[in-house]
Amino acid sequence: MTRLRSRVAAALHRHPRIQATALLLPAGVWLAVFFAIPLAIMATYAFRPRHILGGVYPGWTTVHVARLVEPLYLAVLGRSVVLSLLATALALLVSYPIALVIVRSTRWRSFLLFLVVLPFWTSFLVRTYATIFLIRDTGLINQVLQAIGVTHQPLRMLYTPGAVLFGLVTGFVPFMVLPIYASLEKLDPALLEAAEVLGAPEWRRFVRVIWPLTLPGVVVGSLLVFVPSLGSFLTSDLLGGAKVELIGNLVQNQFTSARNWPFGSALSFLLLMVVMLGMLAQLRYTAAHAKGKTA
Amino acid sequence: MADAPALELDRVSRRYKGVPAVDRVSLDVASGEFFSLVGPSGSGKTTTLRMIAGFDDPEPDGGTIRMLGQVVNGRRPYQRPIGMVFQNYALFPHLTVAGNIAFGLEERRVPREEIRRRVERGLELVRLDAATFFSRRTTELSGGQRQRVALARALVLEPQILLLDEPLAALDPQLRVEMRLELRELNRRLGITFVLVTHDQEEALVMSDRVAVMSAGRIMQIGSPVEIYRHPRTAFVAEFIGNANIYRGRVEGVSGGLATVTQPDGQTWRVPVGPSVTAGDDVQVAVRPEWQELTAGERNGPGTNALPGHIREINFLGESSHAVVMLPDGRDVRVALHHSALSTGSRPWQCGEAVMVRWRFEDAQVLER
Repeated sequence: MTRLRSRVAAALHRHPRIQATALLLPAGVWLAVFFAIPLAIMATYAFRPRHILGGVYPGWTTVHVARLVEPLYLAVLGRSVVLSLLATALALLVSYPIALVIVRSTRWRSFLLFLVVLPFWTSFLVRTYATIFLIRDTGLINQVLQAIGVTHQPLRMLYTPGAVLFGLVTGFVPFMVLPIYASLEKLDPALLEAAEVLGAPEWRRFVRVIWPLTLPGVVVGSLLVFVPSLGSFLTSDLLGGAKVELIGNLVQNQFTSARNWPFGSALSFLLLMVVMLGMLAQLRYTAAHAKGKTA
Repeated sequence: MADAPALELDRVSRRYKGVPAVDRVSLDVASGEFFSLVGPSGSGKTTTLRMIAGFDDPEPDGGTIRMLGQVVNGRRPYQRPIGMVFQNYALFPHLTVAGNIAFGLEERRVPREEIRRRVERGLELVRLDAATFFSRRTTELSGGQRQRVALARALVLEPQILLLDEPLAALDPQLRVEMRLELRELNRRLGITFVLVTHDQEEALVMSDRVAVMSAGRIMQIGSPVEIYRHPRTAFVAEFIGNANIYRGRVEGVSGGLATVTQPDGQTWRVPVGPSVTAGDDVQVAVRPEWQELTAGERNGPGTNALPGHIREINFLGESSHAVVMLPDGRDVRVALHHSALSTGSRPWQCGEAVMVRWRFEDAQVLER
């Protein structure tokens, strides 16, 4: 038994390609069965006639795909993209300083990192409900504001686009903080000292050294916020009060209450294409970054 | 203040959690001088250099630093007339060679065409071909080339003082020896004051006009390489710079400036001493291996000391060999054998052989206690 095992190990060692294939096999099978095949089925659904009770009939049609370009749906897509971009920008604005503080603290570093990851201990749904308790008309913030006499009427915060934005940003900030923190942590402090001796005050050091060298982290973090924001439906459902309809909500509706699976599929693929455009942009950026720009 | 030293440290100190890392370090570096801080790790040499540079960490918590006669304590690094070369070069990986060298010039808002001119001149200065290297990425360079770019980046700003933190430590031995000469040559040609930190005593001796030997946060001795090598003041300096055999004993008597010293094991030797040394004092002296020789058994001649011993081993070092001789008290001393003297007559020295270790009275350096 042991001899067989060592002989297999030796054979694998001699053929690195077989070894690589063997190592990738479980993940490959998993992806094929639970991702690629369902996705392919989904793609065909977009071209099937709709069954009134959900599901599809046999046969082929392009009516669902044609509906995608209707102004109503394009507006939803546009709104989703704009809101996701806003959420990404805000998350970046909030996260970069947090990552900087964490990287500069020595004694509190692991505790602060723990705080960043802490929200993952509860489900996203619970956190979103917690946000509702915080920002609703009778919520904590309004109670405090009224108690100290800033306002007499409760401020309308829940069920506004702002609330959705807030929900997305708070929900996804950890995804932005962690990659930025990782790239800041890798930054050689001697580079900053070199820049300082060469005449760069603190702000210039940030602009010329810290920012360009942590840009890969920023790009990864931005994708990690932008992509889930674009597909989100829970946040806009709960915090937007179904008034702020995003493409995620639309897809969800088509599959559930509207029982229009083919159109839901078509919408999903529209979303997927937008996401892939984002990924492509990131890939091209990374490739350019690796090759390097000229002076 | 025409002859103000380029750099002056006056009792500069720095403590870490109450422990002094740098303890009242005072030194003057003349304009154009090549000055080295040398010492083992933890001796405070890097801390001292970083305080000269003016980084946030560490800031001196006592003492004054002057550059060209002006106190610079509290000034930012870029407000001091310095350039710096870092141990691992600290080149900006996202910039090209030209981008790196231009960094400081751009911060100083030098016009674009002038930047280009000065970058090219900087490359020339460190003997890198401008056409080849101008738009190379620094990540594509060899260690030696990076070193040169780091030098050029500092030099194009025409600093008065160039600080070098272990600049050659990351290079391979042959290149290191080459770069020593080149740094030395740059210092002479440009007239810039060089302050070098190194743990490599040989490097310090080869390049420097003067060397400060540091240990445990303090300067043990400052002097020219020859002075420090010939006349180490303490056992630490004697043993850190080159090799040294240390002999200890009590002065029996002094006559005509010559002290007769008896070791604990009863062996005696003589050494010239100053007027402060009198009978009953304990003294220790350093004798370098190449100041000693081996003789086969005969008693000492006039003006020399001789101690009996056995050759324990012979270490071949290339240019010379060292015989390790065990004395009767069990201590080992090292004696250099030059290759012309590897053998006495036709007979080479053998391990286990009984020999006399001999040195002239004046070739022993009396050490401070």
